[in-house]
Amino acid sequence: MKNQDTIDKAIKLLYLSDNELSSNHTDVIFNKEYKTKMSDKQKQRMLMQLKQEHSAVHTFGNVLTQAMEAKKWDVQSLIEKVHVPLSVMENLLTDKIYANTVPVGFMKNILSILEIPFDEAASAIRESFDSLKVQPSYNVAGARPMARKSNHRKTNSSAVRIGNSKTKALFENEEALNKYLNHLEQIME
Amino acid sequence: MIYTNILKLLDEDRNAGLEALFNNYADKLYGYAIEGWNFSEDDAWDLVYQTFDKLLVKLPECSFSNQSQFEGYIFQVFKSYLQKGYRKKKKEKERLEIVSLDEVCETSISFDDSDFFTDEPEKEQNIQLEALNSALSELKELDKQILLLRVQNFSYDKIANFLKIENNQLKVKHHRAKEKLIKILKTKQILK
Repeated sequence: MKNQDTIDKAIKLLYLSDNELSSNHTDVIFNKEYKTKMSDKQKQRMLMQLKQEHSAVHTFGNVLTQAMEAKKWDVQSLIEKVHVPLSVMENLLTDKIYANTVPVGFMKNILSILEIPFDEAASAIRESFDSLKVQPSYNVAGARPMARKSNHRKTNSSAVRIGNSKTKALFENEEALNKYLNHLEQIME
Repeated sequence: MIYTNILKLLDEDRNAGLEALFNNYADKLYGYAIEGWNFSEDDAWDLVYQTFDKLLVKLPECSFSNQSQFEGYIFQVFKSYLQKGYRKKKKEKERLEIVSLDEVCETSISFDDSDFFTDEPEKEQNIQLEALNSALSELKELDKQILLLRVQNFSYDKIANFLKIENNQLKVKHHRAKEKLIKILKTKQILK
């Protein structure tokens, strides 16, 4: 009898750890009428939490915009304080460029002046990075580092570069982003 | 609701998509965790929450060719949390047993696998699970399925219905299948 119980428990563990064993059981599991159901209150709580968790998209552009609104600044007044070209700031605000193309010194200024904590900024920068990564390169304005002078000499056209290359720049790499954020964290301490 | 409609809703209006997904699967997963695996209501709620939290991120990135594949994916995501929750429960129970409080702190999951997995490191456990899997594969497919479904607390009626067999003496068949498995494990010296 003890062996029987032991076997049941071992099969349970095996079943949970091996996806192949359950591959044809979805029907029986999803077609069964279970006696135990969630109460309406439990359902509402779960739905509300899930909606809250997933509705707010904290891209870096959103975080910058909110911080500017809190201070009642427009873009012009911000760029005068942080000494970042208008085109770059506009692209940051609309999540059109990789934030890690902005030199960390400038980024530190932006975050400090807008009083954005590093953790919040880092999480938002990652969010924007992920969404930019899946966009076609011709939509991505920041396909070259902001520090390059040629990028912002002609403010009307060259800041938004229409790329036709399928190759990826170094800053489009996750490792580069991690290094950038580590460096930013260090200089913000 | 068919999976294409849910995916479309998720794409167009995340909240509407979430509600459609939730209305179709939340009660099923919750009931399965409690009735099939003896989780408490609170733990089952957490497992379902974690599953939907993950699905909201992952589903928009996935493509499916049919309903069965879609539901299979939902179940696999849920099962990964079920596994973590089950192991956590098991560890908690073992910790309670160490301080001799097992009698007063009997949890809804009663798990005592002392002959099979006691204090084995995870790697060792995996080897034993592989051996069990190998022993299971030596059984007839029907016997294997009866054992796998029965440990999830499915009734004999439900098992018979799913496997499209008569319920006649299914309990005896189940018992014999388990005996056969024990015999194989003893032959392989996995079980004393």
